Amino acid sequence: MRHAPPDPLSAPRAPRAPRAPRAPRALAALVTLLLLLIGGCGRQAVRASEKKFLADQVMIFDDDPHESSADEHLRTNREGAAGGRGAGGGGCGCN
Amino acid sequence: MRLQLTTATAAAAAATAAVLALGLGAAPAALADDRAEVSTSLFAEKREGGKGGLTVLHPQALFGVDLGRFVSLDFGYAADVVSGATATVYQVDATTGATTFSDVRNEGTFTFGFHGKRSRLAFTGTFGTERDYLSRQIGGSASIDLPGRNTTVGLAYTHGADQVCNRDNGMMNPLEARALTGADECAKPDVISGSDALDPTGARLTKWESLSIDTAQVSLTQNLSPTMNLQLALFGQVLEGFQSNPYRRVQVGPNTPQEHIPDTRARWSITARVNRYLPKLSAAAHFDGRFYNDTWGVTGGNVGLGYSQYVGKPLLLRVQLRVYQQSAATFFRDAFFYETLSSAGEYWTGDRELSPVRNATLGAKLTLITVGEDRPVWGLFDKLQLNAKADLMMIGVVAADSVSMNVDGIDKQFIYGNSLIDGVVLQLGLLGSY
Repeated sequence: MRHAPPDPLSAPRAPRAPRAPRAPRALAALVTLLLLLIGGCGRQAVRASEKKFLADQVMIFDDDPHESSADEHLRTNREGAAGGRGAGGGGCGCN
Repeated sequence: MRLQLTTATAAAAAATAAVLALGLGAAPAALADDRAEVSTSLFAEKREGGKGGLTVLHPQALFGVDLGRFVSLDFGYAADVVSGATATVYQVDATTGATTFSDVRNEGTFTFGFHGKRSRLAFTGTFGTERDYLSRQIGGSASIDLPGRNTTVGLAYTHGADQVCNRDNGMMNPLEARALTGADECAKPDVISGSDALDPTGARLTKWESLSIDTAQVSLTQNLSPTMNLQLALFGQVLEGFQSNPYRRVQVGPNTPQEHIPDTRARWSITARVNRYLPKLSAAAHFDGRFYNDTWGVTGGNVGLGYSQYVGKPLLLRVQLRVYQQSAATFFRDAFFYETLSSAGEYWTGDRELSPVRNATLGAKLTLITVGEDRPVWGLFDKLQLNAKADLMMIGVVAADSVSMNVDGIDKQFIYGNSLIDGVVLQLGLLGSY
């Protein structure tokens, strides 16, 4: 037996429980594959003598900590999303 | 308790540092840098209704010193001086009842760092205080350059034990819960923890609610070529405890109870960032993208493009564009539907962070770099940078529910403004290493 669709203005919306995060398996597999590929090519990717440009400050992630933290502070008070600054150690391995 | 944790952490750090130092061998020179940074950000946001906007002044200072070759100690301070207008009740016409407010937040941070030739380890403690909120956080981070020194893996974990001042509503039904007001006392007799406030008869007026925040992050930074690098970052966070705004009320049918949202929230995001150096132009191009999801149903994403250009030796100009969009939490409704249809389930909120929204930020930053060739800059610094930055933010409010059925619209909900330029960020900073 088919029911007519409820009128959204006359019927209260059915309670919805908070959803669990869904991390699609394809995404997880892609990330894993990417990490493995990157890890595998790391040893020979760039020689020490070739890191002149990588050592430049424009190539360093979060090279200005105050700017990064101020931006993050501003956004977390206006947006629901979070994360993305990484866990430190964004240098080029140039020392 | 906090002192005990800090002492234990420092002992563990010292032991770990000894192991690291033994494993890495003695370095010929100091591996940490003395540095100092001061900056101030000003954020100004426009809202509707002639009640004024929101202004946040955010000064920061950081002072770091080396303690020997491998160890560094950083002290940081930040503040938020906030003033503006806010809606006391989230309803169809929230603009009329909006009131002005002001608050000051102070935060101090210390970081104990250990630096090897290929690895870094840091332990951090943070304490923040404002009238109605206490933030206490400890954490650690570690990173290591893998063999070949083209791959850096970083791990970080923090635990926050926060407290939020709230009106004591006893065993009241959430639909009857009253909101905190600016006149309610939020006592902090020993500065680092809150204490319930009682009336002369001994009845509790306000209480401090707990909120624990556990955050883990993993990042991988990879040199892809002599001119290109990539960073992937995974973020996960679990929040458990009181997360409502204690001051906010929501018009739900004929009632105006305090905002009521779930106690548990789990959230994650994945971010990719790429830098590409352009040697012929003395410039670099930047790209970043992020996907975010949480158990409250908020799904969001952003992409960003940037371009940095050296102008002669001392000047660096960067321009960037960032676009962001998110969906609403499952229990967020436009005010009209809270009023006419009641809540979507057992929760209700007027928090704009949980509303559907899209925004775009267009900005530019100018950096003046001075390097001390023969003698230190200002007699002290090896390198000194003066940064000036300006961002324009454009916010597009999105309806959470059916637009055709919402006869009152969403323009007066007082969540965001409706101007072309909704917010401006100005930042001025001085960063020196010595």
